[in-house]
Amino acid sequence: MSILKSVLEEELERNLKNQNSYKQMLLELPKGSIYISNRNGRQYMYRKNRYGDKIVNVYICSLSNIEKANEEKQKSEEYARISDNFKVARNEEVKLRKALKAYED
Amino acid sequence: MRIDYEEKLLDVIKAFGESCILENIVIIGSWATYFYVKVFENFIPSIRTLDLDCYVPKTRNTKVLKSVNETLKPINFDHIFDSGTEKSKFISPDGFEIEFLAKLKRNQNSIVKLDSLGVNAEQLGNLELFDKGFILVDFEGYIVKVASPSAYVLQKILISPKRSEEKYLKDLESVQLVYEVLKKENNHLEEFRNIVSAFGKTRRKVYNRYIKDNDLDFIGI
Repeated sequence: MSILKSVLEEELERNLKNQNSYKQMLLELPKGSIYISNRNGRQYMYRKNRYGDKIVNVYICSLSNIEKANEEKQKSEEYARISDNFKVARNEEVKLRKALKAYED
Repeated sequence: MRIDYEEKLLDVIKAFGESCILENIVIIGSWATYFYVKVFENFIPSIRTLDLDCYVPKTRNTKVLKSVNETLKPINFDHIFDSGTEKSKFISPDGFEIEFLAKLKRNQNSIVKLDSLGVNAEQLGNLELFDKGFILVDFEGYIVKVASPSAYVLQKILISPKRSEEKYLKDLESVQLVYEVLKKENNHLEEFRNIVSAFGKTRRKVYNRYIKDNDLDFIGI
């Protein structure tokens, strides 16, 4: 077997494992973007999610609850970061599969 | 493709340097050959993996400013803990991966917890070769401990019986490449000779078999 082929296969295997790790990390975090609503001079934090055609806003807390609001904001930023990483890993998978195709015949 | 990963490596080295992790680790595995460019003229490294292996010689009393997780998070690495094997590693979306290794000791599990670093290192045999078998390389102002060429070659040879066919061939290519340059420099050849002469019966057998099987013109014992 070509050394390069085995290198690519090893990297693909690693990539698939890493994608699973990212998926697992995403499952442990709340999905959706943070949304602030102003009502009667007060601010409230919601998490916005799309379910098919529907957009659902789930109430989290009042912004006056600084600790909780910061915690939820951090979780949301972490979700976005890991989600981006997952997309990068998926793109890497496409590149690796494309490179491996050259060894198929 | 490699250029991106070289930048990634520099980010990792800088981060490790700033949190004082760098002085507690030795870069081993094929990324060590990347640093040999600074040691041997016209050397072309053969990096065939995105896996960066860091050997931790001292598993106790390591003093660092930040844990590995805190150090690597700002450069987009995530800490993955495998509850089955209890191994920890750090992954980056572009495939770069960092693992920590320690020497195998009697009466210990295959995993050792490194509290100050906040990681679990896998304990493997033959790694004690790097306790003294490392060189210091100035990399962009950071002093990096890297497996010495002799220790690199000999560790690859000693682990060869347990390698898959693909990895065996990959290692063989790298072993030949590094030996070809080290044999031309007296200090490196001397170190190679010293390590080999100190081998016990089992290691000598593995070494001799390897050079015979692959028809290598290496120092004999």
